[in-house]
Amino acid sequence: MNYIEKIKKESNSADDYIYKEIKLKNNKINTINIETITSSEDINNFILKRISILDNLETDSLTNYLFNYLPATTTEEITDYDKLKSKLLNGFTIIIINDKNVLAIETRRDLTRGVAEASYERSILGPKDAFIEHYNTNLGLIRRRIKDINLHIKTIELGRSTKTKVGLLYLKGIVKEDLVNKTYKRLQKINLDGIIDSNYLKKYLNDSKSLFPTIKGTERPDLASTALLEGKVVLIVDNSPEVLILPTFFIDFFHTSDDYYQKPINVTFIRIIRLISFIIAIFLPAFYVAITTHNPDSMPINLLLSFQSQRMSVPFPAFLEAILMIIAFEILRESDIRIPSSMGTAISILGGLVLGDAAVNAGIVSPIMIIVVAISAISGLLIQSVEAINSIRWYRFLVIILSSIFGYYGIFLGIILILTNLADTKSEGKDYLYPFAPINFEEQKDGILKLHNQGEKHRNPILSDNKVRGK
Amino acid sequence: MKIKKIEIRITYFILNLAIFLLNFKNISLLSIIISNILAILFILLFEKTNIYKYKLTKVILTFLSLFFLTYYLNKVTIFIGDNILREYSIIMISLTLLLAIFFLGNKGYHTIIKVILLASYFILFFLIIGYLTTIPYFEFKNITTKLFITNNLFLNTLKYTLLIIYTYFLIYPLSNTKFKTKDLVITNIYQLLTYLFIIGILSLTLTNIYEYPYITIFKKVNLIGFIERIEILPSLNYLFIFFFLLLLSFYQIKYNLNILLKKKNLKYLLILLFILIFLLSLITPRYYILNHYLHSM
Amino acid sequence: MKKILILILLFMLTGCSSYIELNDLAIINTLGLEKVNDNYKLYASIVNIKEEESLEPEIETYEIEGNSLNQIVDNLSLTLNKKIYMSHLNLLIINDTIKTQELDEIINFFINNNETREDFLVINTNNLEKVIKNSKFQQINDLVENSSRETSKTIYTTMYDVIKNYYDKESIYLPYIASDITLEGLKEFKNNTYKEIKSDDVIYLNYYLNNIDTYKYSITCHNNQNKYLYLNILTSNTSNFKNELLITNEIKIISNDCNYNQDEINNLFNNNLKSNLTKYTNKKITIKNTIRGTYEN
Repeated sequence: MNYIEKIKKESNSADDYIYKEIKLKNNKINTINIETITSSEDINNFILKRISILDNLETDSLTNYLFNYLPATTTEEITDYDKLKSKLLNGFTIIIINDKNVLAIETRRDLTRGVAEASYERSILGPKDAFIEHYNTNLGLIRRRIKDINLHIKTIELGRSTKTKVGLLYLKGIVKEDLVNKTYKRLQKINLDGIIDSNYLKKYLNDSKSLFPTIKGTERPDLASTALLEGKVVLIVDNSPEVLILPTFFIDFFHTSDDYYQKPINVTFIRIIRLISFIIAIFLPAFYVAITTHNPDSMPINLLLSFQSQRMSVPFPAFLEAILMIIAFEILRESDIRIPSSMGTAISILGGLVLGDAAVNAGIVSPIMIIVVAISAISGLLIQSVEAINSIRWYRFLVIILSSIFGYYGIFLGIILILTNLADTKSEGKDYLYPFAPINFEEQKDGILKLHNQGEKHRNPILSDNKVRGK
Repeated sequence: MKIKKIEIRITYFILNLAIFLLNFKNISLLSIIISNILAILFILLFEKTNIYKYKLTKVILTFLSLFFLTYYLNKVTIFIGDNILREYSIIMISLTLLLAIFFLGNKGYHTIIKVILLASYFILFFLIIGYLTTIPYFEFKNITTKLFITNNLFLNTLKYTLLIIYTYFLIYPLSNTKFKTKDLVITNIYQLLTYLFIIGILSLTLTNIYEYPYITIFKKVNLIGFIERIEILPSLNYLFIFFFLLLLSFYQIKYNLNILLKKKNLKYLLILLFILIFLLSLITPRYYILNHYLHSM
Repeated sequence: MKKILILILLFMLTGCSSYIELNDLAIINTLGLEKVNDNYKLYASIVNIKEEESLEPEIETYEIEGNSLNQIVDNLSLTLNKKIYMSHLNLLIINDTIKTQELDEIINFFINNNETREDFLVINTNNLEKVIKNSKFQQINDLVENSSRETSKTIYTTMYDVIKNYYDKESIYLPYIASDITLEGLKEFKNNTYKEIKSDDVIYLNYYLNNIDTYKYSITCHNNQNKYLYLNILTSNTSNFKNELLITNEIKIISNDCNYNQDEINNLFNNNLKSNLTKYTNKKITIKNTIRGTYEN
């Protein structure tokens, strides 16, 4: 059968498929490669040059010669058509010798950018490199940090059309085996046309209904390596600059990689600030609505009079004012993400300064409401996860609505709802709120507080059976 | 996952605090001491006999929980109406409160205990804040020997003893952890100190007059000209404490019904229960301790 | 989806009955109460806010009469078309027409109203209308607070103290304000009658009640009538034992023109204090002083 005809037919004669026929004295050699993903320089130098000096050899010995003496890292002998296709699409050059024997030689072109600085998980201290869209580079960035033979990888190809390579990394001896098996089984069950980014997997690895993310994506190799050392599992997906860490606990969103490069006392302080800002982000507008519309008795007289004078000319009820302002902020934020950065400054000046000031002067919103919404919005950005920030938004709305109906009692109901939601959440079968509920005082020393230094003795008992560090 | 001992102790502490605060008006120093000693003796006795396994105990506890759930639902609703959400229909408050109880109560005991634990961090934080802000108003001259003299000592002590034992049984569906005398004594000494603390700030006369002395003490707070009018925070804090008492009362009913009726799914029964408790709590009369006191002057 | 439906349902059912905008509140700052021909006459100072940010809020005083307090407040609400908001009340002015029966009604009104906080100042005056119309925002409050703290010539009496003393059947001491808004000592209410206590006597009453904060004291020298001994009493504490009154003072000498030594100062001060305190008690009086400062110039 003729492979070349078959490929031509199936690919609908795509014009980046290069077919070349070399006729020697006794032999006929055909090569196929895809121009866009292969390096033509490599093909010229290492394949075509060698082939042209060959002659007078039998088919089998010619194959043997090419297999052994071509200077390429990966050379494979191919027997069936499906494998040929997948190799061809992965950037290999196919050599067909006398329509009989088939070899695939790696001539992949490097299509990725170089390792760059982290763009959204920034830190002042610590390494600056970030993952890129290349599987091997990403793996290399982790391998460079963990030089351990126990760093095992289970690979799987996912996506019917994309055939994306997904690697499941874990440190044998630290990780609990059932976590690896469970995650791998889940990966195997995924049946999709394509995996374009690692975030596609989140939906399939997640079984909680919580608004909060239970899988953390990170672009920082140091964070991924720390996670591996703790006994977590890391998923690297080809073409995705974000690797996934699972399981992820609620408290992980309050930790950054900087936290481990600083003195514990400073870290404790900033973590408390993060927790407070998280609470402010959800509850401040609701608190304002409750205090002004149901319980003005809980503010001092001077504050009350000041609020009263500010709200004098505002036509909207406080509750509606809050909702409108929050929606306005969300519009600003979304527009800031979508437009090119060169226009970003103009938008922020126009939206933030001009509009805000004009709205107050025109008496549409009260200045205090702008302060409240701005503080709440800024506080919500302290968490280094887009998904977590987005989930805060829903809780904020929920609590505002409840507090406008029930005042402080509505806030109480909101807290009960949020706590129930969080307590009900599990990440890969582990309690999301660990180590606070269920309690583990030893682990709480690296929760909100950070009491011990780098020489921590114990590993997290729900992530690892191997409890003593350094063994 | 197994529930840890410390988690059970915290839950027991919160439940006892709820019972203590909700009955604050009916107890005296003497009745706290006597009923705690009695309760500890009973509890230690129960630990040995394990009477929870009998069917009769479960039936009695179910009805007892139903009674207390209704009674305290009414009381907590009025607490909200007086301190947090004034001028609001009491029906709406008790309806939403009951909805929250059923919503959380049906999630299973792991979720319940996790919510209690999470809230306990905040409860503890605000209790400490409460002590710090009110301690400047503490006066020793308010603590007099009059504290021991009470009318209806026998009845009040008996009621309070029963309630403490009741909170002990509320823990049972969650875990059958054995209590140590130490844990029980710590909880009770805490109550004693809190009682003295509130009297020391408010004096016995005002404590008897006000319906919620443990809120009224915060109305006195005025520190550095700005920390004032903070009573809403302890109100919310106490509301959490009361809520967990109601929640575990409900869970006791649900747990016992599950075992007694040998059914997994109690959907329709629970809806009936919801309506029953709601209606009962409406019928339960609101009584004014305050006016009673004024007329007896 | 279910939760959103429940929320919307709640919203529609309740109609936000407790929802109120800030501008619909009539914030009452000062209340004046007197009894005229079996009717209450109430003066209410309401804080109004102008849109232009002025430093001083504008205060309007309303006059209204009625049979009972609750009726008056309802009438006031009708005339103003706003919700009467008493939680920021910081001054209650009464005059001698308010006796036991009326006081009972006032106390009942405030205790039963959960919105009010009883930490406001209560004063007595002989010219109610003039005082309430001429006093500025928080002026009297600051006056009484300062003078009780710095000179000990009055007692800062809050409604809590009034309630407590009323039920304990003890004397109620109210700061007495003259019609030109100056402090003129105290009024003591006991056995349904008011008795005036002069400013200088209040210090000794305060000694007896253990209320002394700090004050300045001066005596003319025995050898020269134009020269004075100035003392600053920094702190003082009175312990009221069964048959002894123990007073400890910390005194700083400001100026000692008479060149007294420590014993002389001690004797002068103590004798004066003892002779004035005999009005209030028959107990043995012991005074302990620690004196700082130079004795001779």
